[in-house]
Amino acid sequence: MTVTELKPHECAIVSDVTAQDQETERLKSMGVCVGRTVQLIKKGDPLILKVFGSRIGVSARLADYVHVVPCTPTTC
Amino acid sequence: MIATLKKCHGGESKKPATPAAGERSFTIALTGNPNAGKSSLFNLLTGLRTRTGNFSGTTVEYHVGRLKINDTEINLVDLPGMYSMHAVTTEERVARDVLQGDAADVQRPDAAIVIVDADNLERNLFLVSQMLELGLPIIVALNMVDVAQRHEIYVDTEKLSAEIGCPVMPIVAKSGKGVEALEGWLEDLARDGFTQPAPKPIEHVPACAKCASCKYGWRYSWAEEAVSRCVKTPGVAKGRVTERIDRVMTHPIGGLAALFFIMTTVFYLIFSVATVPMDMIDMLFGTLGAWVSNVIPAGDLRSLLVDGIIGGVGGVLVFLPQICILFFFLAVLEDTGYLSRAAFVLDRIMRRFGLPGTAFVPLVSAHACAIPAIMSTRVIHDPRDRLIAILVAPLMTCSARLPVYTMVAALLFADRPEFAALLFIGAYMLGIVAALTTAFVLRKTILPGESKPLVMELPGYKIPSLRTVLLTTFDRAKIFVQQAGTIILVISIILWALATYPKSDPPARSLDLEQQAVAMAAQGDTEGAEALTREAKHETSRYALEHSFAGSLGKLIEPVVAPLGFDWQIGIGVISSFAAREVIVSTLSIVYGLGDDVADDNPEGLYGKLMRATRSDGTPVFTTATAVSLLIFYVLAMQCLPTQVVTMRETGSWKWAAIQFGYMTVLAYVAAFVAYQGLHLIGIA
Repeated sequence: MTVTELKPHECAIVSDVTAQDQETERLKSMGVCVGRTVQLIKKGDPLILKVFGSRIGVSARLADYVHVVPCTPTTC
Repeated sequence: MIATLKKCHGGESKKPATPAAGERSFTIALTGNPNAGKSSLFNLLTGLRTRTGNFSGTTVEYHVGRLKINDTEINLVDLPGMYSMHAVTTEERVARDVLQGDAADVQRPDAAIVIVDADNLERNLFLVSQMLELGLPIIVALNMVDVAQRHEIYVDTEKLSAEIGCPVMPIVAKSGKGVEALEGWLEDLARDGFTQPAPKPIEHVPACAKCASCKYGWRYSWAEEAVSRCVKTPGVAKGRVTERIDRVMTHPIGGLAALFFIMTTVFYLIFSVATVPMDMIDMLFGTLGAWVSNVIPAGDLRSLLVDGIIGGVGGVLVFLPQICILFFFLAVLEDTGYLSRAAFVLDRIMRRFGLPGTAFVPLVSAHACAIPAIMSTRVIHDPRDRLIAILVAPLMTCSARLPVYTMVAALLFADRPEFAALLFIGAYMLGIVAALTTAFVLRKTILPGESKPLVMELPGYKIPSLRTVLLTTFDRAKIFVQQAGTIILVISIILWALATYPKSDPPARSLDLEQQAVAMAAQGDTEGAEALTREAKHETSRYALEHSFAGSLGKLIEPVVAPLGFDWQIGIGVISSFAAREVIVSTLSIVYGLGDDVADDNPEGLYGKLMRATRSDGTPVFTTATAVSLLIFYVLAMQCLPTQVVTMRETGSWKWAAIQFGYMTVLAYVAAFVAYQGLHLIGIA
């Protein structure tokens, strides 16, 4: 599943980022990269992800490339 | 040379420091993530002893501040914020080049201060891990320890220092806490001649097979582990207040309402508070002009100084208070963290027109003045997105258009204030619609593609630092004044020369009037004599302008502008208003023989006389159709050379300034033509 399909405040581990352009590079350098835990703060377009201590606003069309595996339990 | 002694791996330093005789000079780079507090620390360390430059070939700014420790001079270079040395944006590329010693403008630093946000340590340590590989002495300034402590994050700085192998100093850049220790470190470094060994890079341990596909993975794994070893976090969720505020600020409807409220307040303040200093500047230049008139005898020199330079530069500098207030509030909004929310809520709407959400602030700023607006497009990362924002920004109604709108409103609806208000709203709307449509069209034609998707950090809200805000405002204002001092000065002189030369003798009618005045004065009617003398003066200046280069140009372009309902007098007005649009009001005043004093002292009188101004065939000049056409022309036309210069500077070529001028002029011409001819067709003349 992609990060856009998470429920609000659900946490997940990034399993893949399936695009390689400037914007996804930027996303990765901000922490949205394989193996990291992300939390969906706000659904919609753009949506808000939380990685480590920072919130990142991301266009939905870009977030669609971010594949995740939800954490169990779903909070973090 | 000392600077080359401290070499480490990574090859020869490309530009070794070249200290002046007897003095040692070093360069230290200040780097870190965006929003980590870099500028606050820089301002704290250097104060006003800074200069701002552009990295060559880019519009990315850098600030250099001078520190003097004993007899050692230290140049502190404030680099643009960066997330990673795998640079993605231009800012990041430039910062990386400086750190690696590849920059043309800044010598390779002798050491680097990496500012790290204690409240977001993992992400910030990622960059630190890359800095360790530079082979430079590094110090980590652990900023915002106060905020982190409020979030119950306690960083063991000694453990962290051992973990990363370089000094870590806890500071609060906003209040200056802990900064002495940092200065002490600089002092030590300076005393040793920057011979401290560079820290060891961390070991590259691929955490898992999957992570190997992502070059960032192992660094983040390291950062997480390092943090888990030296931070005591009881697991309290961070940034609750920020999240609560964001529930409103990033809400699709609530966020827009908040944005509307905030921007309305800012603009109310721009237009209300600014009037006091604007009047003062106006008065100052008036007094200066009067003083020069007294000191220097009448002649070309006096005219050049008073009408050309003082009048011209003063006419543009009068907008400085508005620009300062605009920059002040933008800096406040940025420092609180709000600006990124504005871009966030608008991104979806703006994208339909081919603009990113980050273009919003520049386009709103353009309603005060296009120059600061174009300067502030630097927040837009993508060059193409930025170019579109620059090209359309001058379509927004800036302050300099307001005197023109006021004049047209007075011509059309002298006694109907409600219609005048509608006319203003209509003119503003026309500018906005034209800008968004143009952006859309540019996306379909010469700058194809979609705007880049949003990726933007939403930093935690904080109370802005007055110091940072004031220094930013001062810095921007300085750039504006420097522009006024150079390019606007040149433009003012050229336009003055066009309106002054070739000189002509006073016309027969003026001489007649003067003789009559003398006769009247002899009969004791001093009032009548004064009125006649004034009229003679007005006739002389009208005649002089008509026969100047500007007048010839006006007549030359008359056939071109005639289909818009303009006569050659308005043509002169259009030409003369290239320095600043509002100049057309005083030019029209002169060219219709009313003298330039009416424009300032008695605008109602001016409007009344303009309404009665006639063409050579006796028909009135300012019919409804002509007034509407003039209004539309001024909403859309690129009547501002200073803006053009800034466009050129920010895009790096005359090409885009020329395209901007070209499309706006064509747009203005066609729209004014359609309006004038259309109104004629339906019988409104």
